[in-house]
Amino acid sequence: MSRQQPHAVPAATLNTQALKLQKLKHNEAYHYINSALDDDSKGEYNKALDKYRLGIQALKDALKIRYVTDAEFRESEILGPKMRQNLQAVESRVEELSQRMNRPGTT
Amino acid sequence: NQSALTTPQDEVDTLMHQVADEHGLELNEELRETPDTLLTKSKETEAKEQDDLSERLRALRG
Repeated sequence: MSRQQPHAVPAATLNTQALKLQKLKHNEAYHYINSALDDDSKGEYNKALDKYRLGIQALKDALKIRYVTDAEFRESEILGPKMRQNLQAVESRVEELSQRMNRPGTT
Repeated sequence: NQSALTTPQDEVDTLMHQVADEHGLELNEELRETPDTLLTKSKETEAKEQDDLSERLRALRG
């Protein structure tokens, strides 16, 4: 008798067009925001702002995708809430940096 | 003759409905041009990447 494979997390097997699109936009958002955070931490705020904005666009695109079946919607929601939270945090950061950059005489 | 019209219309319709605004067409075009080999990350990895971003963003504000 063969032993049962333990499966902690059921493998994500759905690979619909909508989920691929989410994947594509997640990748883009991650790439831009991660790089923006590097620039931000080095004080390179202009570079960071440009990248944050590209990341915001990618997150918005990802969050606009419509899912047809319950199964793909459930799958998409593994990332959905995290993306919404990160979108909010990045938007706040952009606002903060924009204000800082527009202020003349900042030391 | 219906068989003359067996285009992959269902697929097109599905794509068209994924993002329901004018920007959707561009997104679907972008997806079509992306090789599947670039879309192999697991959901688990993606979720972790989003968590990493959350963490770094939180640290900035702290």
